[in-house]
Amino acid sequence: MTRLRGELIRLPLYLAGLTMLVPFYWMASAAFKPVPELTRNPPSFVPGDPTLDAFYEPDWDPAVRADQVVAGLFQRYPDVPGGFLRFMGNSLFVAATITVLSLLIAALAAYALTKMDLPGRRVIFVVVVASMMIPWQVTLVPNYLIVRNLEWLNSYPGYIVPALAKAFVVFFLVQYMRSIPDDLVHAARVDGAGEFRIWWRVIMPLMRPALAAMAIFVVLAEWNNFLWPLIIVQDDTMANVPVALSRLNASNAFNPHNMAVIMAASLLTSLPTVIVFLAFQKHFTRGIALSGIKG
Amino acid sequence: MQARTLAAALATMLLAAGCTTTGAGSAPQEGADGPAELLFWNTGSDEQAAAMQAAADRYRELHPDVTIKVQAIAWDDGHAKVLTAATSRSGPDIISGGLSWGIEFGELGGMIDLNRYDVSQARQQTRPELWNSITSPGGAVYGIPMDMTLYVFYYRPDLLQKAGVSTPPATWAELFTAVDKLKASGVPTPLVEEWGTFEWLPWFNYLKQAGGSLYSDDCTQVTINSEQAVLATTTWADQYRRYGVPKATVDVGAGLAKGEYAMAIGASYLAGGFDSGQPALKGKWQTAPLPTGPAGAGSFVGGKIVGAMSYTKYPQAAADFVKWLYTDEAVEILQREVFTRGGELYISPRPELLAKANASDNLKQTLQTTLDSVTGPPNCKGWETSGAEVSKRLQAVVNDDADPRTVLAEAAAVMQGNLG
Repeated sequence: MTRLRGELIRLPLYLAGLTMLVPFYWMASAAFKPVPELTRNPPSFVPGDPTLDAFYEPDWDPAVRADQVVAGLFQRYPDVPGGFLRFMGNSLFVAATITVLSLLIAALAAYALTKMDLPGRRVIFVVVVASMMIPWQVTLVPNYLIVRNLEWLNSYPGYIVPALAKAFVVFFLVQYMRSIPDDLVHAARVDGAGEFRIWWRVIMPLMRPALAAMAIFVVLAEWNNFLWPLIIVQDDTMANVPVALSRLNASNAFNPHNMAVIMAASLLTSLPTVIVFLAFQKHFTRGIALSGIKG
Repeated sequence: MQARTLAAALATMLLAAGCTTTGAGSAPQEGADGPAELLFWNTGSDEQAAAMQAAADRYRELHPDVTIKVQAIAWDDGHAKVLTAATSRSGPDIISGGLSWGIEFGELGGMIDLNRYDVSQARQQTRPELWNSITSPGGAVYGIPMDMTLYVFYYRPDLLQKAGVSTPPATWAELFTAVDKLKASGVPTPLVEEWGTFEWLPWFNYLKQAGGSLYSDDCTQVTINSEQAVLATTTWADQYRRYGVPKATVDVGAGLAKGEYAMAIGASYLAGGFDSGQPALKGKWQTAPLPTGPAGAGSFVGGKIVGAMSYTKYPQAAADFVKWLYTDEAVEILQREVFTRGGELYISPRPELLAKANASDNLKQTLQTTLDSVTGPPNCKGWETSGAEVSKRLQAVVNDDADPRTVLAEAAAVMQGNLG
């Protein structure tokens, strides 16, 4: 009885949750609708005649214009090797690299700030925390100028290097690392281990929950990053998925039949984030609980 | 959307930063004698870029030393991206973008004054109203018109006839009479507006039709606070207050197809998507020039400019290609390819070639008539900055019942301040 009452109380939450899924469902179903069905008004909720045309349109011929026939997602970007998959590959490579490297760097910084007898470490930590108060957009201009002068525009280093220093991750890992007893470090030192070895062999295994929580935040943020790639990318082959989606959206203004293609691209784009979320759901929830980050 | 705003802000900040740094890309400019590889950022859809690439490929056949790669950049992000390129002196050799972009980026030193490469032929072939819009107050031409977007009056003849309206409204009075009749006949929203909905753009049409202007011809005076502008503003505001024109952007094709809308004032590019996007609308829609006001016809013309960036290593080659886009052959390619690849209508800045466009006779006739009364965006200093402020004040007439004279005086003060 008590359980039933509890479920009834949660009912509005379930309904709200379902409501939030509607746009995602709409995107997914629209990607598989044939064009006449997609443009029908009122719209259908379930595809009556599912098709993969939005991904690959067999009837599309670049030399012949036919109403209701537009190039599928994988037939676009003929000048870009791999087409849309190249953009996904760019996003995946950049997000993965930044996630791994920024976590390693942040973990090293956190170790130095918590477990080493570093002169002025309190001041350094305060500076790191204070830097979180500076809007990240403020650093865009200096970052851009540095990247340009290094001739890293339109390159992976241009994507990756400016994103490696993440003050929040350092702050989070410092907080977590403080909960690890210093005795472990002292014992390792007595056994003759060097600082790097202690960090890698003793501390890092214990940091796994915190690293996993941060990894999810970083990978999602980098996967969705739009502004920085928009500014530094000058060649189609270097574009990431958000930039490509923005461009694809422009085609829809002139021909509504591109809507299905946009939905197909959006679906493919969101799948990795959904997979990451489902796979690391527990860490994600824990990360929110630990860091106090909200929606 | 926030990211795009940030992109614009970033680019603006780069102005200041760029002024104090030496550009890594500021290599000495070379002539066009040697082989040139040009990068062209074409603002618009992927299909438009592909059409431009087809033109560029033809140009290469004629000029084997010049290779041009065309890339699409989206309208939403294009301004920030090109501004970044212009201020950092790194990026494409050629760009296309909004009609006002040439003056804006050119005055920042990011684009070449094409007068150095003799664009007199293009000037002669373009309507003077359009050419004035892209000429800086100092006479520089940083980008020449590449295509045009015109305002078109779309309507459903069957719905009009059912409501007792035999011909498309030709005047303001006829327009609003038609709205009343259509409403009475059961059309829920007789008139809608698209392309700058509830912004200064459609208001500008009323301003011209009332005989008003934003600035004096020589850009020395702000003229928005005239009696003609008061009339235009009142009429424009009455659309929303009395005649139920939606303030939010609407899907014109879907509304016309369902019979929810009977008339729409919108951009010429809408026409390309009606038949394919709304099969139920096929054969049911027609076009006409915008209804006229007390001063006669008047319509805003938009579109794109194309120009060469100041840091390009190949200014001569870039300028030559830009000029070549005015040839019969280039226009023909663009008309064909834009239609084939995107189902769109390409309206060349050379009005005499409109007859060859892929469009119905009715639409071509409408566009031809409209061309006789077009005015482009002002080329006066500070208009780019003032536009949004002017829109806000105009909207206050509808949203807050503000007095048109007061808001126009406020708008004039803003524009005068930006005019310097």
